[in-house]
Amino acid sequence: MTEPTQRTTFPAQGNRIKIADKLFGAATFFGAAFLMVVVLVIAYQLVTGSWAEVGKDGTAFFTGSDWNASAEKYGALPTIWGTLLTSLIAILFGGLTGVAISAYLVELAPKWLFKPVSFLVDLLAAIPSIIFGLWGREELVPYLRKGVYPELKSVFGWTGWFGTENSPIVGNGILTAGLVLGVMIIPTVAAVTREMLLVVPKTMRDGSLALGSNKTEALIKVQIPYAIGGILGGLILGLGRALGETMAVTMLIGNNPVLSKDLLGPGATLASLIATNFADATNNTRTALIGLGLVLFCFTLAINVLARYLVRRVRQRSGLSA
Amino acid sequence: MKLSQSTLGLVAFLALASVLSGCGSSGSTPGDNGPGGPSASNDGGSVDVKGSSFVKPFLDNVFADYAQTSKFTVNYAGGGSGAGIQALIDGTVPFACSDAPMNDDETAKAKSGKPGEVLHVPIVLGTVAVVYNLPDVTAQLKFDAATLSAIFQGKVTKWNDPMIVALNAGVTLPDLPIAPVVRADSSGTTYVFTDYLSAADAGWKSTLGVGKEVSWPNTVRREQKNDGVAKGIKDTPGGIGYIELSYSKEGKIPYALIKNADGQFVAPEPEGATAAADKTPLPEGMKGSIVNGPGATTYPISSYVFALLPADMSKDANGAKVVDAIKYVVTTGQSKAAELYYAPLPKSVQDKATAQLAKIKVK
Repeated sequence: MTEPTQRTTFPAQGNRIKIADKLFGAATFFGAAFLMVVVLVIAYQLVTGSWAEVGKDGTAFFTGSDWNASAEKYGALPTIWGTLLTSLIAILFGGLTGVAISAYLVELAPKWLFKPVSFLVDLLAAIPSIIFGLWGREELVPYLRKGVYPELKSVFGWTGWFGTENSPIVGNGILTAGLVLGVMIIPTVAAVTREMLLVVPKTMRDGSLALGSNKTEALIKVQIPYAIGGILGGLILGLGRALGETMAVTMLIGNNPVLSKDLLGPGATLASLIATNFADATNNTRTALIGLGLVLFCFTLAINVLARYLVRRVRQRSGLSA
Repeated sequence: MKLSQSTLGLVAFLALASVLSGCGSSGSTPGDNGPGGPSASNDGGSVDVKGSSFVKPFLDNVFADYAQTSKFTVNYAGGGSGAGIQALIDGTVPFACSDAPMNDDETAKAKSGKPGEVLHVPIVLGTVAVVYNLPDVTAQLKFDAATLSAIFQGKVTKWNDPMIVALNAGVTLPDLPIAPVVRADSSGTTYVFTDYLSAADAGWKSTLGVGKEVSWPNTVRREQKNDGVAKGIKDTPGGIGYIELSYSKEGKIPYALIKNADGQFVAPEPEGATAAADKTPLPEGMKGSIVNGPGATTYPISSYVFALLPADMSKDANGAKVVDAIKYVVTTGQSKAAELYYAPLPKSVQDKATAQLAKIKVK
């Protein structure tokens, strides 16, 4: 997000240096161009690959609430709903936790704790998603089924968001998938927040403390607002990961593309439906699944554009240079 | 500052990864359909075939035997009935295998496409077991079509529902919610199960109907493949679902007895499928279903697996060899069926299958 600094040229550069620079420049140009071509080709193929179905159904493809490949009914709404719902839960849970971890580490924790905990948080980012899926399935689901969800249902069941009258408490479902996604995005959010808090000028914090605020006030009223652009960027990066995550979600969400607000019940996300059905899909179903891929692609694209916009706006408003 | 730089690198990596993972899942290619089984090193040549994954263990075993005597190798890649039929229509495989007979749409596409007219040849029989997880119930449960239909429509939601209690006199059933688990992928097993419920229960036929995939109610969990469903049921007290017999046996998940058309409760053992095939003759063209058939020992959720072959294979250099390989499967190969939890074809069906193979034009 930082613009490259002004390049300086030196008139006395020799021929040898010029050739080396040209070669190196060409190599890096191809690297950059390759990435752009890949993204454009993917976008193009998603559109052409899905157009037969998306073009035919039009808006019905996005608003249809029934996905039944055998009946050739392709409504993407349940999976869009599932994707947004799980990502929202992930951001609420993982985002808050991630910001809290970093605030604690940077400001409140004893110095010796900083390195080991930072290391652990970064390590979390390196764990493959299938491990999260296995852990969720083998350890978390039984625990939630026995210990947490029955309570949740008996207290909040009346809202319709936590179980319906006769619904079984299985343990997997939208909420479980969202919670595990939350854990998965903690390192992204925590790492970005930590770096952003670390670059807040020490004078800001010291000034605040000198004016009589305590550490908490300095953190909430001065340091976090100063770093908020970056923190928002981190949250949105996390959201990007949550939207596209496939393996762990497939193992935990129950894979039933239904439009339901029961968070303890099953659902499906764009990515999970593609994963469970693409391998043996034929004809129109394959086309429709590529259509889901297109929706997901647009979501991730929109998220990244939004992230850049937000970061820029927040920085401009607070009058800070990047 | 060193630390913060390396972490910024990590952040950049995560950003890239999150973008790529968004694209990757949509741009991925279908599952690994590469040839399995023995390599094509035998002198007599080889063909690669796709189709029903249910029948793969059986065919792998039988085709391996066949390759030893004939030196002709058939690599059966599985991949699903639907994928097999699609490959047959596209002309990328010489034949395919499917749990469900081809529907009208597929038949029309084949006719105008590469294979032309396609013949159905039954190659083996299988049963679909209804399995459940009730930790405190040791007795074997019994179900009929009406009860299963109500459970999988989400109308019967507790294990001590009067409908289940009435079928299982003397068994103490818990006050536990029922958690149905079904297939997430397009599945021949789902086709056979819903075919049975449609045949035996009018209410099912008019609502969810028959298909490799149907619109399941809101509370139903869906898992991938037979082993995913088996695991889902094993993990969930109160779970119920349908899987191929071998997964019930190997996963040691208890199966239920199902009431057949004659009013008897029958286990999903291979004999039940052979009885079903014996009592329900296939129509001309051999394209048919044997669910909910008559006979006291008939298991009602039984089905054929079909080999789908073009009626005219005279342009295929391997045509005669392929037909001979299938002939081996429907005759000598049948002795392998029972040990792998499939049911052998009754002698009468073997003869009809051989006659059907004789109709195929080869070079």
